[in-house]
Amino acid sequence: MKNRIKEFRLLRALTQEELAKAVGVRRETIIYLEQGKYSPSLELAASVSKKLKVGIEDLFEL
Amino acid sequence: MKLKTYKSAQAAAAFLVAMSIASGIIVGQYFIPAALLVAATLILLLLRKRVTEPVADERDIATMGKAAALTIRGYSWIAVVVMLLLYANRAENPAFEPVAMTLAYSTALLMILYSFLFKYYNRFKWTDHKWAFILTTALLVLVVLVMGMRFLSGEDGWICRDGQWVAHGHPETAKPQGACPAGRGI
Repeated sequence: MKNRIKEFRLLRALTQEELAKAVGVRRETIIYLEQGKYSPSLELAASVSKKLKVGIEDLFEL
Repeated sequence: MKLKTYKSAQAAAAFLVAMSIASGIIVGQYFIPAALLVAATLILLLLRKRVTEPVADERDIATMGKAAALTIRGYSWIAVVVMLLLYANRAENPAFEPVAMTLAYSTALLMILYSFLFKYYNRFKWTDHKWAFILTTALLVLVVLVMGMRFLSGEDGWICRDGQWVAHGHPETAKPQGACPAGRGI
């Protein structure tokens, strides 16, 4: 699944570690998410979009 | 506690338990390894609660689920094939039968436990997951067949009584040639 997590994370000046800690996952999961190698659960996707202050529909695209 | 510290404690506990089991087998003392195993499990459970970072997140759990399912399937296939081979050749070596039985029962238990845990966590209807239902049914049938073979055969074999091999039922194998120690049977 394509996403713009990295773009919005850098915009918010967050490190992968900080984002991971904020949404309750390991840093590796953020790496896989950013690379589009892992499709998150709705709960995780919502947490990431909330933390990055961006709509979930703007963050992910099919 | 940091995740790295917890992982180190986990590795140290595994090493200690493995060492105690190995030395326990050598000296014939099994209480200490068993007690150490229980203690290590409890300590690790307590330590895990103190870890501030996530020990396993949703991606880890999804990966573990896939790996566990493949492991269970792989082990079951291998165990069933080996069990059948051993059981078919039990006349060549009487020790094959208990090994075959152990494999059969352990596989059946593993699959039944997996199926029921899957049902519990997934809360599904049997009709929606026909493969789980078919697999469970097939395994239950296998257990019944194996148990049937075991009990309907009348447990025929040779029993050692007063230093003599005595036929129990109708043994398929010839009378053992060697001397029989008291209490031993085939």
